[in-house]
Amino acid sequence: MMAESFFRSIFVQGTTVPRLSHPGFILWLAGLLLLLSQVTAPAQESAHQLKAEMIYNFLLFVDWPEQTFPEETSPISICLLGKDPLGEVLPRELGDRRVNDQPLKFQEVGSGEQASKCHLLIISRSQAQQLEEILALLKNKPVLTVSDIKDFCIRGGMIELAGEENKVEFDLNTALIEEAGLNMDSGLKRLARVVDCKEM
Amino acid sequence: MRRFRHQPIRRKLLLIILATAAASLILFLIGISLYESATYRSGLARQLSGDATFIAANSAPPLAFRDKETAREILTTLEALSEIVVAALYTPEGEIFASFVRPGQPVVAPPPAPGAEGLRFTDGYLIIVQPVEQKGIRLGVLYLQADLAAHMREELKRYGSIILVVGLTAIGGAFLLLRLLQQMVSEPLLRLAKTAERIAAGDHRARVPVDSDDEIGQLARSFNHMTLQLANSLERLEESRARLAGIIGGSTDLIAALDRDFRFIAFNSAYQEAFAKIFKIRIKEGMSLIEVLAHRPEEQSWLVKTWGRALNGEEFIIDREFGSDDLERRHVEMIYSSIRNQDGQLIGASHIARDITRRKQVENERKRLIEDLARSNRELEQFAYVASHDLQEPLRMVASYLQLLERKYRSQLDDKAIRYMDFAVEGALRMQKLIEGLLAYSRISRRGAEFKRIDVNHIFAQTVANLTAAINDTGAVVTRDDLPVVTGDETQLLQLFQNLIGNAVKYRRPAVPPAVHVSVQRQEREWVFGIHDNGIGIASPYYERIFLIFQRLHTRGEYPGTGIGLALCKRIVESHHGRIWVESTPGSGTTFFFTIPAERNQQ
Repeated sequence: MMAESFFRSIFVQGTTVPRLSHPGFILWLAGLLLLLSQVTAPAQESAHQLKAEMIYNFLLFVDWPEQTFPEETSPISICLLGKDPLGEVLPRELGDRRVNDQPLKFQEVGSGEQASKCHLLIISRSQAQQLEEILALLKNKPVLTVSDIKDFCIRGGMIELAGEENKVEFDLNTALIEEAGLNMDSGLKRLARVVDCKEM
Repeated sequence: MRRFRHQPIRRKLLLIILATAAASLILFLIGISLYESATYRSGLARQLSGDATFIAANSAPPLAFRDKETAREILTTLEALSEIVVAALYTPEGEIFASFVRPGQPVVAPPPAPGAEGLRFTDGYLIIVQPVEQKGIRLGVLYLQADLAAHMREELKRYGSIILVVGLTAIGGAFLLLRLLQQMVSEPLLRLAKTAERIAAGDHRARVPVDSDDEIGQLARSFNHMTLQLANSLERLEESRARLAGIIGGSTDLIAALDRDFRFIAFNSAYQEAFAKIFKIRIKEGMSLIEVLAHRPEEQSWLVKTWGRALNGEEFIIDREFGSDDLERRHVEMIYSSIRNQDGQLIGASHIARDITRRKQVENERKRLIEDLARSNRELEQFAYVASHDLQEPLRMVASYLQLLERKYRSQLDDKAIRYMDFAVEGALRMQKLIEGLLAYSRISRRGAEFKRIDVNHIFAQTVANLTAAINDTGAVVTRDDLPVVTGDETQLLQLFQNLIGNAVKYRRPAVPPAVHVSVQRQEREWVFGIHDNGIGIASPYYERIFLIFQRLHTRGEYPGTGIGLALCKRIVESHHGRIWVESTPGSGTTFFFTIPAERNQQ
């Protein structure tokens, strides 16, 4: 009993700043990069793969409202807005993965309206100019927006992927995620570089 | 236990109280431990399962995002759970992702592989292996290892304070109880012990104050009673000892007692002085007879042998003559007897020596006198016999020739000559009778025939027959009781009865016909015969004299006789181990009594 409440208090308060510069993490990353560079592609390619993994992880720790899935086995739709290497990398890396019994469905969307049916929307850097408009269309809709556009989080995005080619970190706009009706695992907050962008 | 027995009572009490307290504490602990261990495993398993689920849930994001730092932080929160000694997260590939190891305990690292999923108890550890999954995706494995013993230690620590408090209370209570018990138990006992010491030191007036009715009070009362008894017996003992010492000390006999090792237990001053006189050594109590006489080996060996007999339980009397050249010879009678205690066990021997030198001298003197007397008596009797026997013959000659002379020449003699002749014949005859009497008298002592059983009735009849002439002449009446059978000499008894009845008839009062009665009476072991008459009687001054030989109370003119009769009677009765005496009233009658021992089986 004691232990449980103790954990709760730690996790709820969770003010610790994640330290991804930890030597262990660096080693792990280095190992992964080494492996990737040896087997398939250049460094750029491995960074994309890393991003793909992260996106998959977000699927694991975020719950969408039930009505967004007609059935329990309905696919989770992952959309890409704008031109991005991920459009190629994601289906290749995550194509046969599942979340619970739900398959993943990848599609590229041309506009914000189209994206409103998506569960997760990756916004390419190419969309940086019209980002506010896109986000405005998706306001209060259960669409998890992810992008590596700089200040994405501050400008109204939900998850901003930050970092270089071999090291990916993320910022969260918790309030926005909750307003959108999405249920995010609180554990993610421990891992995020920034929990609430507005406060920055 | 042995050490415990020698502790003073107050320490024993303290130990008992503390032991009781400790035992209850230990029992309490054992009970708690049993209860705890029974309920703890399942409780801990349930709790840790919950914790594992929670940790697994929290570990999912770091595992997914490969954030070892955060994973470790999460595991480190387990530090608050003291049971957990190792916690680890493994990647789905089976590599250790993050771990927490509690410092200061034997397990230093998580196992290389988590093992089967689930919950298991191994070597005092509870191990939970739980998969970390998120939405059906396996992200890794959580491994938790909890030390069951750690919990017990924790519980002990928790109970430690209780035990400390209870223990301190017990010790405090023990000391309080101890003070109380000391007042109630050990102080009275100490008083008792001190009193006992005083009594042992000789103070028989010491008493223990009795102030309670419990066992100690009872003990004190019994103790006082015992002390009183002891004092009384000691007093009595001392009294009797003093009395005995007085008796022994005042005795001129030489009294001494030895214990079984030949050491003097007691002796009186007479013994001490005699010992000093003979052996030149002044003895003291406790001295050994053997050592004391080391310089007199001969006496030593004799005395040791003699005392040794007594010390072996023999009781005996020894007559011994002591004496050295410079001392007069002393005759000593020594009585040795053994001394036994109440159980009949031999504890020593006593010796009473009496100087009987004088007694011995007197005895010897008497023996010599008696012998002399007997010899002279024998010689006298012999003389009397020989004399009377040898006298008879010439006397008979004188008498015969006198009678012949008288018969043949009577006619030629004048009256005067005839009278002279009669005197001479009469004198000769009297002398003859005297000699006969003397012979009879002397014969009595020379024991004649063997004693036979004789019916005295028969003797009586014989006597009356022999005295017929005298009885008829005097008109006497002679009667008798039924007389018994006795052991004796028939001739002598006949003589006795004939003399006594003859006397009774002879010494009659003029004109009074004699009435003689022979009575008999049993008195203890003898027959008392009585010959009663109604004759002239005898005055009491003559009661003794009449039994002497040749003593007569009357002239021959009044009553003829030789003066031998009663002496002969006395002699006969004495030779039959009896007595003879006379009772009489002058002028009215006389009774001669004599006794003859009764046969043993006679009534």
